[in-house]
Amino acid sequence: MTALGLLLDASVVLLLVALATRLLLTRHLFEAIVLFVSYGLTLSLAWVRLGAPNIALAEAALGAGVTGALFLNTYQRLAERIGDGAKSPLLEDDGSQDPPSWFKGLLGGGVILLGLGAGWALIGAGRRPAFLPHEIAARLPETGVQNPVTGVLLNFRGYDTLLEIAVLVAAMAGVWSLDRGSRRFGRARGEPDEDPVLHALTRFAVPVTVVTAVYLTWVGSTEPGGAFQAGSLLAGAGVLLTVAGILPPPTAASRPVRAMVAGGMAGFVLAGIAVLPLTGQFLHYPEGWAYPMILGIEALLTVSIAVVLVELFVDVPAVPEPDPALESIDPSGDPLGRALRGGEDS
Amino acid sequence: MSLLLLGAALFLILNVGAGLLRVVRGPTPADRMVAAQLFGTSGVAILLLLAEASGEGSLRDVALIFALLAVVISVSFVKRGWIRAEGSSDGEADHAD
Repeated sequence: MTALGLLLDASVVLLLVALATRLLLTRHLFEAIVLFVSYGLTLSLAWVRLGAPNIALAEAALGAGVTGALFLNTYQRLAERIGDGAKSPLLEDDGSQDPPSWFKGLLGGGVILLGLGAGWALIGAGRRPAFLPHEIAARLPETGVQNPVTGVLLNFRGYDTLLEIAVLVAAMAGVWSLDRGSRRFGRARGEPDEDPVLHALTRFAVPVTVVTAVYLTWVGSTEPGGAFQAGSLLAGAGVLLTVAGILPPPTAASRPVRAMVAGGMAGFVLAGIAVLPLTGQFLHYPEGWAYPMILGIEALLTVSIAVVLVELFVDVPAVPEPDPALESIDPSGDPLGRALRGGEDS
Repeated sequence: MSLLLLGAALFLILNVGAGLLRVVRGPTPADRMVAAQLFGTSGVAILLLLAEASGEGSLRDVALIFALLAVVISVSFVKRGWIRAEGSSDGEADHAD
């Protein structure tokens, strides 16, 4: 039984090492993306075996699922720009721009030495008695939730989660600022719906996904789950709806979209300020109010995260046309646009 | 009983390892993508087996996420990643090149 468990763990570790090695060595971009998704799924299994289902959930949802879809999307953009069948080092590296092999050897050898050294230090350091789990378990009843991970993330270290959502909102603002108004996703206006399979699949998958997302937000207070996992599932439903052309792609111009993106962070900050007169501390929930406040914040966060992720997927900035105004202000400006336009010529 | 469950999970992991060969060899993007889907479905099965063996119910939630996001990945591949292999025709209209 334990021997079999060990064998299982060893297989997962071997698979991870094989995937990571190939992922780093391949010169083929699409293969790398597929390997990345596979690596995420396997890593999620590894977290399960380590007894960390919270992280397994996050890795499966964000690491493998959402990031994989974003990478696929980006690959397609690149392939379209470069053109059919054309060779490009962006899609398949021919090795012509590699550094000399002595340099690669030096770099590789150095990294391997560093890894071995870190491993040796970890083994040599011995085991420190873990005191935090006991502290958290002892004070968990004060957090209003029963899942220690949620307790830490939304109560003890609520500001950490607040800053995480701030990062997402900032990323969204960045993408919106690159947006030049061209949007090409889903069905164009007036184009007939000619994909019955996708339509049927969407009708089946979206309700299940939405219900699961609500469930994950809810269950986050007692079991593994929470806003980020639920938000990425909800984003998956949003991506399906947009790709199938049922939902128009959300845009920065739409007020509800902007409200939903800002809602999670705004709600979080307002909740933090609202408790100030009662407890005198930012985000220090008054007794008895912790559970409803955490659940409310989690629900707002779920929606915000979902909308941001759908936007990141759908709202791919168009390759900009040369902009004389921009060039006259800063001749070196718009390097991305120039690089992409240059890739076209070759 | 849990010997059988863990044994089956081990077998599935080995299967996934075999699928890795297809990811590496290709040759078309579709071959690679289907192999990744094998990772997903086998992952669901492994998680369900482990949930049963360890009695940890939350692993079934992880399996649920695997299954649901596999749909999103496949759809975004078919709609966004496959076009190049077939000859680009879809959605070129609004590029004023």
